[in-house]
This record gives sequence, C-alpha cells and structure tokens, in this order.
Amino acid sequence: MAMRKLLLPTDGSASSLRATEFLVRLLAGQPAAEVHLLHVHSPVMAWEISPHVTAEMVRRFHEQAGRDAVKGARAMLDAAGIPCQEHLVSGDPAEVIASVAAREGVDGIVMGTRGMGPVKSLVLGSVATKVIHLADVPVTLVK
Amino acid sequence: MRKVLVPVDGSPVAERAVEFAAARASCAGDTKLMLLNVQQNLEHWRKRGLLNEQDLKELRAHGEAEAANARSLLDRAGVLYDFEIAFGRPAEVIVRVAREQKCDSIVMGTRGLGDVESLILGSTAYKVIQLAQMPVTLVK
Repeated sequence: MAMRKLLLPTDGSASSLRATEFLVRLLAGQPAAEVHLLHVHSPVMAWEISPHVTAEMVRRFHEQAGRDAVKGARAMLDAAGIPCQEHLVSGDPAEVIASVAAREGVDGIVMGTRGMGPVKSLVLGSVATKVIHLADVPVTLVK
Repeated sequence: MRKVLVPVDGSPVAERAVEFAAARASCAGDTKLMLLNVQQNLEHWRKRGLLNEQDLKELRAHGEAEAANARSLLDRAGVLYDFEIAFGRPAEVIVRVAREQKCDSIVMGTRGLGDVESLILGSTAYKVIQLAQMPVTLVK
C-alpha cells in the first residue's frame, strides 16, 4: 500500500492551515509525495445573479476567492517542496471532496474538523461528518 | 521519532486501521506505533468492590487475544511498535495514553465492537475526536 497521494481540502480557515502543517510533517522526506489541494465553492443560485452580473464575472469572482482560500496552504506546501495540484470546484463541499478523492485515487484525506461555517460549538462540522460518511479512504481530522 | 497511537479491540475495522497505520509508518519512516487495547468490562470488580489478581489476569488475557491479529500483522510488516493494555472507558483512556506518550496522532476505526453498524461514527471515535488535541485519522 503506497501512502503518498493525499487530498487536502482547504477553505483558508485556521483549522485547515493546521491540517496543512500536519500533512507537511507527515510527508516530509517522502520524495514521491503528491498533494491535491482542493477548494470547493457553493454553486451560484439564479436569484443571486442580477442582470448586471455576467457569467464571466461570477467565474472570475470564484477563481479569485478560491485562490485566496488555497494561498496559505499552497505557500506551506511550496516551502516544504511538496508538489501539489490545485482544484477549484463548485458544488456541495463533502460530495466534491469525496468524488475528487475517488477520481484522483488518493490514499487519504487530511482536513480540519471545522471550517469557516457559522457553528463553532460542534465537535465535528457538517462537512467533515459527511466526508467521513462518503469517502472510501481514511480521513484525518485536525483541530 | 513520530509516534502514532492505534487502539485495537479485535474488530475488523480496527485491524484495517492497523494496516493503514503500518503502511503510513513504512512510507514515512522514523515512526513507532503505540498499539493500545482498552479493557472496559470491569463488572467483576465493580460487584466485588475490588479487582483481584485473577480478574486482572483474565482481563489481560482478553486484551492479548483482542490484539493478537494486529500484533502479528505488525510483526509480519516489520513495523516498530509498543503494546499496552489499559483499563477504563475507551475514549478517555485512548486520549490520556496518547497525551502521556506524546503521540503525534491517533489512527482508529470509525466504529468498534459494540457500535451500531449503521452509525457513521461510533461513540468511541466520536468522543476521541472531541477530547483529543492531536489529529485523528478515521479508517472504515
């Protein structure tokens, strides 16, 4: 069993940056390591779009938001010399995370227990809970 | 050296967690696994009010049996590990030992023996995530 390909969903939150730190320590010194950095944004609802907003503007907005979200994690991976591939995808976060994990054939998912959602009191965020449910590979939760 | 705590209760899910931890340890190198079996069935001594030598021996034998497959798996894989049997409530004991042994992370099954099959997360895994400060990897 090889253990070198990992999926790192990130939203730029403190807990996703700690997940990145853990992943860097885990992969340090493994030459064949490969990280898939993923940011998921919610799909735009029709009612959110005014006649003055073009599809191109929405696309650019998401691209920029996505880049901002992965920036911190990307910098840490680059500094550690770990090759990574970025994915910016729209959809339900947990479903996208599980499907990218399956498509890329990763050995595991490393993520924060809680993201930037509104409820901070939960032990496990709704995204993490759903990922554990949907994913076939082991999920590492970082506080 | 990295230290990873892996609780084992003899369930197939726990054994998959051991396999995963072993593979990760071989890849990462410089890693030692801390295999932990927690015996919670302390009814005997609760009734008597104390734990005698015989009870302790039985509980230890139980723990040895539950960890046997995991240990032979690690022996075959040539992965460095320690083994310990502890007594008490599983989640609390797992987190306490992980902290005392300065483990970097915990790798465990999503469900253990006695957890309802349909649950996404068993009660022990859920509680460990709640109590542990270090990363927890859940294996199905």
